[in-house]
Amino acid sequence: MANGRVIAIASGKGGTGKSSVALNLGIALAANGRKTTVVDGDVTMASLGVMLGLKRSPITIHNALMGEASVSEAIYDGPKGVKIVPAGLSLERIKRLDFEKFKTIVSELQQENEFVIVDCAPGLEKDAMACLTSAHEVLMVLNPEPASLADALKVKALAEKNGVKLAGLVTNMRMGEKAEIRNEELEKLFSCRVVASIPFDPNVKKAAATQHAAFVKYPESAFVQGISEATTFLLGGKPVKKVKKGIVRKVFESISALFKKN
Amino acid sequence: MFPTGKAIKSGELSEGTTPAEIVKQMQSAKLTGYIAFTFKTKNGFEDYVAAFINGQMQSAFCENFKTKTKLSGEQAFKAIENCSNEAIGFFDIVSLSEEQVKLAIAVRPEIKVAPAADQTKEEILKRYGLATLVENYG
Repeated sequence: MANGRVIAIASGKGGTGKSSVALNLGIALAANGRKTTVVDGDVTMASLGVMLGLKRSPITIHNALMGEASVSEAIYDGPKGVKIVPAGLSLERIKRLDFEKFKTIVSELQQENEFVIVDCAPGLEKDAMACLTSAHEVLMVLNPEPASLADALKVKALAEKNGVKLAGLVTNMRMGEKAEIRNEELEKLFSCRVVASIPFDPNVKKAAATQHAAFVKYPESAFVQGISEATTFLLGGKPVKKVKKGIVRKVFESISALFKKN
Repeated sequence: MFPTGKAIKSGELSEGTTPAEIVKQMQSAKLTGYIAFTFKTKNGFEDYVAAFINGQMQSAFCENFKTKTKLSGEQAFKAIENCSNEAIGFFDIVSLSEEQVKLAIAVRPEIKVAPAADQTKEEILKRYGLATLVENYG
């Protein structure tokens, strides 16, 4: 298989919904038939395995970063055919992680996948930089408010300095407030397209509370619609989301069905 | 609000396509004219009108039939961007000349939207209290 695309999902600021986007984007790509692995790069605050309720993950990316295991031993099945490399929950192990190994680990995954989605650590420390520099491109997740914008601009600058291309922006948790930053203003500041604009959606928290992905539990939700927009962008093709049938169309189709000849 | 122009689409039914997506399509198509859409949202029926010159939104207006709330300019633009994807409605697309769009906005300046294209990065950063970032990112 030709080398796949490695895409870092980054934001700088924590709490932007980056992990939810990374996980559900990976699931959406897999659901569209693309061999995809999602890597939890937030090694100090692991979340992907917890979000999916992975019951047993004895080998994680921590083991690979300590040289105790190969990354292939840390791959687990997720929904819709996606593969997950979770991070561990141990505080003790964090001190012994060798972030220099992260890029090699991701390269190995790249050989076997069409897409490797790296859920980046927030901030700009070693862990975050290891995630960012392991990728060819970054999809920036930000909330439409100044603090998130400021941190995202710093990530963009560092990404470009390290030769990682900014592929697109995902604005997440739009509340419809007057003071929110507009998508076209973000496009101007980042010189990059907003590929998905996702409204605040309580279904994301509801799904997380039950340790399921929103893509699986609430496929018709606004959040998943936004994920579908980002998926379409990455696949460079026609929209992948289903057209929601409204009442008018349903009634029309019902009436038409009555007149169809058998 | 706008003069009669050349109808590109009239009474088109929209299901599962939000006003924001329709706006994106007009931006890609580089519309000069306006779109008028009536949507049933969770807040009741709402009317929106947005005018464009070469795909750049110039003005926006929206009115909620139930509450009689009217929004103009930036607020209406944001209401369009944030309209729920559960909305269902109809829309018209009308082509106008650039002069006609400018004249209509001149008559009702409160509906004007400042396109981001007209603002510098510095101006945008300053508006959001990020003037200190201008040196590095403006």
